[in-house]
Amino acid sequence: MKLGMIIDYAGGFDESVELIQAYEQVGLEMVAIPEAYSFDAVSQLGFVAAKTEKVELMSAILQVYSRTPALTAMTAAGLDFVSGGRFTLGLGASGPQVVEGFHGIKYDAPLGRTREAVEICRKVWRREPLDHDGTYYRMPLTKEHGGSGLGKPLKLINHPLRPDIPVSIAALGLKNVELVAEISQGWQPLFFHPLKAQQAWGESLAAGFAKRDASLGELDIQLQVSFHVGEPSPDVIATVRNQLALYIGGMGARDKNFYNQLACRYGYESEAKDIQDLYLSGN
Amino acid sequence: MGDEDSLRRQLAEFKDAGVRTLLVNPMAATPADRVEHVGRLAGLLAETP
Repeated sequence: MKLGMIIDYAGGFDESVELIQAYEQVGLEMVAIPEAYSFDAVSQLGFVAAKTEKVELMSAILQVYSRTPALTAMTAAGLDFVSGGRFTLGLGASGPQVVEGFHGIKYDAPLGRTREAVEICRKVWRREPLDHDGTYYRMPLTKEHGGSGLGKPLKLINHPLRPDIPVSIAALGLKNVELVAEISQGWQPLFFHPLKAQQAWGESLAAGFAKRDASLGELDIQLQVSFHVGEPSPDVIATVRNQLALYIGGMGARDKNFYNQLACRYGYESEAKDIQDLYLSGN
Repeated sequence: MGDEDSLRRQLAEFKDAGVRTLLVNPMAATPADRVEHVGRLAGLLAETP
């Protein structure tokens, strides 16, 4: 297994690089940089790329809605170039609280948009003239769909370092995980339980793998996990407990909380309901 | 979380479940402690069959 780490977006860029260099000395192989409604991840990824030589880099994640697919492809190609081929494009749909709340964009069709965004990125990286007539994205935008009719199918000016930049998708929902197994090199599942993953996602993974192109290779499951060597102190336990409560209890509306739904699929329906009731009542 | 034997067992479970990359968050108070924890985990990962 590869050893990686999510870098806190609250820290300064210089401090982050100093820590990454220290982590590299003891075996760190990958850093992943999140992007919620923080500083953008791209700036920090570029900064880290310029200050390091070996560690792999990944976005965790860039939101599908907040950039056009072509800009996402351009950005990934640029980060892969500046890092010397060390970048993995982490993508995710995020959720309506951020997408509609912060970006003011309707959170519709996350599956379809993710699928098309990945298709478009790969076309751009292969330097194909971008001619995409999808359900959610159309390039060029024709008169028929509200454009001026002057758009042309353009290909990326630069030659990407790699035409097959790896893609990793954050997903928890059943259909989304099926999509990941079908089209993505990597999967970023939050709260992956090794002994219950088959129970939660087994059918979705099997359905996706049945349609998977063998050239994508084996799915790289990239698991985020907190750890402590030795008996954890009450403070450590409280930190983990509070994080779980935030996600299972308060992340998303009551009937749109993907983490709560996952806890239920793991068999913790009663506990998940109690956590959500307590969290939403202000406890 | 737990002692090194417990962590070895958990790492083996992750590997058996198909996990190929661990994105870890060391639960330690200081940056130096966090680096030390990551180093210890890297050592355990290297031992994981």
